[in-house]
Amino acid sequence: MGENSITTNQYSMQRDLPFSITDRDVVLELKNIVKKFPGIIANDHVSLKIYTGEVHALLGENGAGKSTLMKVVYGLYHKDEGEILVRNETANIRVPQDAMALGIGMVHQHFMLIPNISVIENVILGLKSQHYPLLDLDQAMKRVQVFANDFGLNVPLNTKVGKLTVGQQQKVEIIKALYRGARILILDEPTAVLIPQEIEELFKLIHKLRDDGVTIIFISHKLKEVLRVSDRVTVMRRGNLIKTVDTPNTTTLDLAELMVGKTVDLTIAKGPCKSGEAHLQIKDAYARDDQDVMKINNFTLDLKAGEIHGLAGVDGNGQQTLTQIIMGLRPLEKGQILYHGKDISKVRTFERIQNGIEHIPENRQTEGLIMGMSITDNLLLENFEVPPYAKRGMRQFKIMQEHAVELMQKFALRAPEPGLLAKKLSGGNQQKVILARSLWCNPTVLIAMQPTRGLDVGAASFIHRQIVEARDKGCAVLIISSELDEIMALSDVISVIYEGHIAETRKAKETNLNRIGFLMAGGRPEEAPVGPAEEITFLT
Amino acid sequence: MVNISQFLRRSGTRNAIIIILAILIIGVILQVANESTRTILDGILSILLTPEFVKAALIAATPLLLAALGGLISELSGVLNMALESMMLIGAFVAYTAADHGGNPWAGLLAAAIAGMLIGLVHAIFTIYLRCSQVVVAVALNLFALASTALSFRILYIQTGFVSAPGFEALRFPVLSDLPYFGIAFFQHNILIYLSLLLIPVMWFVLYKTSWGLTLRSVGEHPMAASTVGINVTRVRYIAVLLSGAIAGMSGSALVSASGINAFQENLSAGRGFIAFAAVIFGRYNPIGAFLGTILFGLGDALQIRLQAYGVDVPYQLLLMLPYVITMIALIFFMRNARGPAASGTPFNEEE
Repeated sequence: MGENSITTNQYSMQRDLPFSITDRDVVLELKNIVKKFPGIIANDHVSLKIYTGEVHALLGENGAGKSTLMKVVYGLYHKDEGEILVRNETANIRVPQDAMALGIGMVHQHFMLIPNISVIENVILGLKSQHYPLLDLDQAMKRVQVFANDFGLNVPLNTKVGKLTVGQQQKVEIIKALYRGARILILDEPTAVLIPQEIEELFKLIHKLRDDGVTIIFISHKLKEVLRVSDRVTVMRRGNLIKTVDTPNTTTLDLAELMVGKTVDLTIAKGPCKSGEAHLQIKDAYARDDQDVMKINNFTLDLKAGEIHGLAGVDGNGQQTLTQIIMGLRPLEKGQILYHGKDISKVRTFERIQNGIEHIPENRQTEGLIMGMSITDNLLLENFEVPPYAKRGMRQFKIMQEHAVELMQKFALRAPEPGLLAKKLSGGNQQKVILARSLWCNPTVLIAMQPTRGLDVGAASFIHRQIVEARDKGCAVLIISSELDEIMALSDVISVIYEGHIAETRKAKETNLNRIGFLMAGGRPEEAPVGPAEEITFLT
Repeated sequence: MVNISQFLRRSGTRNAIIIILAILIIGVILQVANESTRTILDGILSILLTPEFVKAALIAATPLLLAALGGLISELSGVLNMALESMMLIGAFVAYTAADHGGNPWAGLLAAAIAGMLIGLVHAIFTIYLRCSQVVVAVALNLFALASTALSFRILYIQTGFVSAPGFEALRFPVLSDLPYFGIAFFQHNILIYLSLLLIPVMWFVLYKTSWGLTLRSVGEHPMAASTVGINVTRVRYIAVLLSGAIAGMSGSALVSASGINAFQENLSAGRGFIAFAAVIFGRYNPIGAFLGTILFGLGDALQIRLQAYGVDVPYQLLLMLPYVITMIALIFFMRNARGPAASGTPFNEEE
């Protein structure tokens, strides 16, 4: 690994830049970039100019090819055609260190940090110190401190990365890129994992970096954020570059239309909430996860008929354990789960499902579906062994098939035939299979975890409409999502979970984003900001 | 969703298992005590306190220590090395043959390292380049080692019969070797044992204080992250597995040496490679822990030999089980929070 490493000597963070900034200096130019994956063209002749010191947003739905394009620039993917110019010189970027040598840094959507080693070790990973092969952590720390304080990148350098919050980990990634001399910083969906307060902080940091001459490429699918943070926006759709516009001259609706390719209705039609009796009550529950950590702590929650209950919280605060105890996939240590007043905490999962408690798991590919089985089999996972789908132990294929065809129609599941394997479906259609399986029998309780994660606008709004429809039929819905906008737009009641405990439950109309963000970060309800609810009418 | 590991982790279940095992062991001992009367237990106690016992434990532990240190390197890079057994056994056979023909134990050690490295190379090609299952490849290599060494041994030595190869001589240090108790226990070993022990701090230093060590650990924890900062994951893993093979191969030389008569026999390793594999895990993936794990086995091995020699009236096969049973009990206690490299066992594919 020796000679491939970049020496830290190349690191430069000084204010006088090696190249001059004029207003319209092109720092990065892409010419006709083509990147193909088996079966799809991820980037189809994309040409783009990025100017020095601008915040340039790359906007598009999932699968539009934004990340792929930037991974090509960063040397993680190899382009099939096209040319990359950095500061007007053709760049031959084969591996990430080529990109780094040209001053390009990237913060990935899923952080490329090693949780088990310290922050400073992550920062210097792959670099040679002056005392190579020895590690020189002290020297590295001094270098980090030179610039980190200026930008407000305060992270404890000796702590293991796994112990940091997600927001801090993101700062580590940014430090890592700057330490390697990045002057073009690519941020891939940087806000996806942050709470509102952290997003504010990130935006401030981005603007500070820009004022220092760093060029920022901001990949996102969230319109509001793009409008707030960027100077220019490039919209991508299905591997093609649609248009680049100056941010001040555009609006949410314009961008949404460019992104989706047609006029879109982003509002969720939702009638008033008519909540009824409590279907499911969790009382003073405690439960541990696989690592034996108490993830659910003195947890109490009521799910009422005809009500969508949103559960906001930073990932890893017990949401997963919560769904598992509700579904009976994990034992309760203490407490009760009441279903129509009866304790079901010892009842088997199968019986809970048969009694109308349904579940959309967090990860559709590993928990929700059996990828190597057909749509039909996946639709019937919960009742393949009961009549009429099986009689005397023999499966009734005709009835199964009819059932599948009916559900495919009802849930607008686009697939040539019900025998198609689940893994051949798009993410949206996969989620529709799970949704159909959970909703067709009119459940009384629906636990939906991250129901629209990674889906395009069309599929997401379809799923939202279905969930609202289930609510109107009297289902008690629990939505667990890290997308706060989704929770705000759908919920009638919102609870915030922090370290396995409900920090607060309020009517959606009586709370707001700031308050929720404050509580998600562990703030006390007495000190949380109050104010009227912001009207969120669209989701992206 | 109560799987086996959860079941074992429940403290009630764990205690029950320990109690059952304890009863079994005490039962065996009492059985012995009944038949051979009162002095046996005293005898065992006195065995445990002799310097020769400590000496024998160290000798028995050394091959495992080397194999475990080799396994550790590979494992930290994210490649499970369950083929330690094959590296050890082939290393032992090669070490014996080379020392016999070369007339020099160093020739044996070198040959064993090279042989281990070759096995490592095969392992690496299958698991890293072809991305085969690391477990299946290891099983194949272990079976191959068992059969090929047995066959070669018979072909080469069937006429000559039993031969003792030249081995490492025990060193003598002025003053130290003549110390009471400690002299025998610690200062009359051969050079290989001291080198193996020296390897523990050396490896610790390399792993935690050098760039190379950081690179190795990062590749095992999160290869994609390592790759994004320009580390060549494939190359690091190749180097790690080859190095692992070399060190594990040398454990074969130590094994021949530990036989006391510098001889080879069929299946000389007798599963010690697997014990070394386990020692890496319950040593929590660091060299010092691996050492403690292997010493535990060494103590058990030394004890069972002495029990046999003591003439305890138990089938010797039962006594042979002792070190393995001790290792299993240790696993129950120490496996609990052992956390391996996150990417251990998974092949790396850059464009995924």
